Amino acid sequence: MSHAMEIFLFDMLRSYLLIGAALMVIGMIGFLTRRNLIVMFLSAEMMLQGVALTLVGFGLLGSA
Amino acid sequence: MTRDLYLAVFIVMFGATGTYLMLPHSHGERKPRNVHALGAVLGVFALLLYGLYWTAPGPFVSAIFFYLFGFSSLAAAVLTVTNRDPTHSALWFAAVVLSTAGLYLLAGAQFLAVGTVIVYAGAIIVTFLFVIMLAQMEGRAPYDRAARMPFRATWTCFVLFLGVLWSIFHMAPPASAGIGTSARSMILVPTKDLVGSAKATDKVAVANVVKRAVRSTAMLKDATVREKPHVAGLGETLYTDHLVTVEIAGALLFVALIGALSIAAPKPPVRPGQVSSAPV
Repeated sequence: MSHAMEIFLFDMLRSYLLIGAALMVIGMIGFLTRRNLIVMFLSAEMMLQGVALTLVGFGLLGSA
Repeated sequence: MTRDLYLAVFIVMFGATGTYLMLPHSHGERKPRNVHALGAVLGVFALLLYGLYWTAPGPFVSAIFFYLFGFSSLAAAVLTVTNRDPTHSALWFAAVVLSTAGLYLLAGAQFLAVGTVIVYAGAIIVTFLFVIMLAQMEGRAPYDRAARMPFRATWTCFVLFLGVLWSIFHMAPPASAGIGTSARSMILVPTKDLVGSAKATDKVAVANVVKRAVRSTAMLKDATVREKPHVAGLGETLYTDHLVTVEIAGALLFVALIGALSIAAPKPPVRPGQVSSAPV
């Protein structure tokens, strides 16, 4: 793999990590503040989506 | 690096203030419309600033879709959390799921994208909408109009966010071609090299371990060193290497089904002055 390709994949990994972190934090706010059990569950699922996005980003770096 | 951190502090301040203004009041009082509008403006501003960090994956069309999915997933996430109506929250969560599925697709994870759309947007959200609509037919409950400690929770989470951003900015990019590839090959040693690089006395033992641990079905590439198709590879490894896990998961679901049937079976109502004569 060329160095330019590595830099490019690294930048993509970074943006996926950034979006995943933001989703995780917003889900955490929802889990802490909301008092409806269903909305709390949805917020927990949102945190899960953020983590999954992070894992997909790392998979991007590892697959090439 | 330092500039990134200053920008991150601004993003966190705007984002936290905007989210706090959009959250329900802690005692369930009504917030004026202007406050919500101000919170939305601050949130959008923080989101646009946050977009400065992202790198689009390549050419024109995929860049447009990347920014579209990224912005829509975060905006829908904030709206899921801040909406006072749980039905709207569930619908905005469906938007979050669809946008993240788009991001998975852009990262080349087709199976995960399709699975997420089918399972979350298709099954879970619909079930939740049914539950919410059946359980709350008389309108919004008081606990939906009030938030639990919104100020402290928002600022705690956004300070955590600042910490995560700080650690992401500390990730060093791959320095040069030589270092990058050698560091990678330190971690990902091909299995045949693993046997070759072992000590002469350990060769047989290492070969035995490798033969047991790395099965042909669990590889990403087939014997002709071509990549396997996503779903075919997944199904192959699921039903050979992880057969016991699949069977246990199936058994667990079956037991849950039996439990649900025994709970939900209609029973004759027991009236106050009358002993139930139904067989237990």
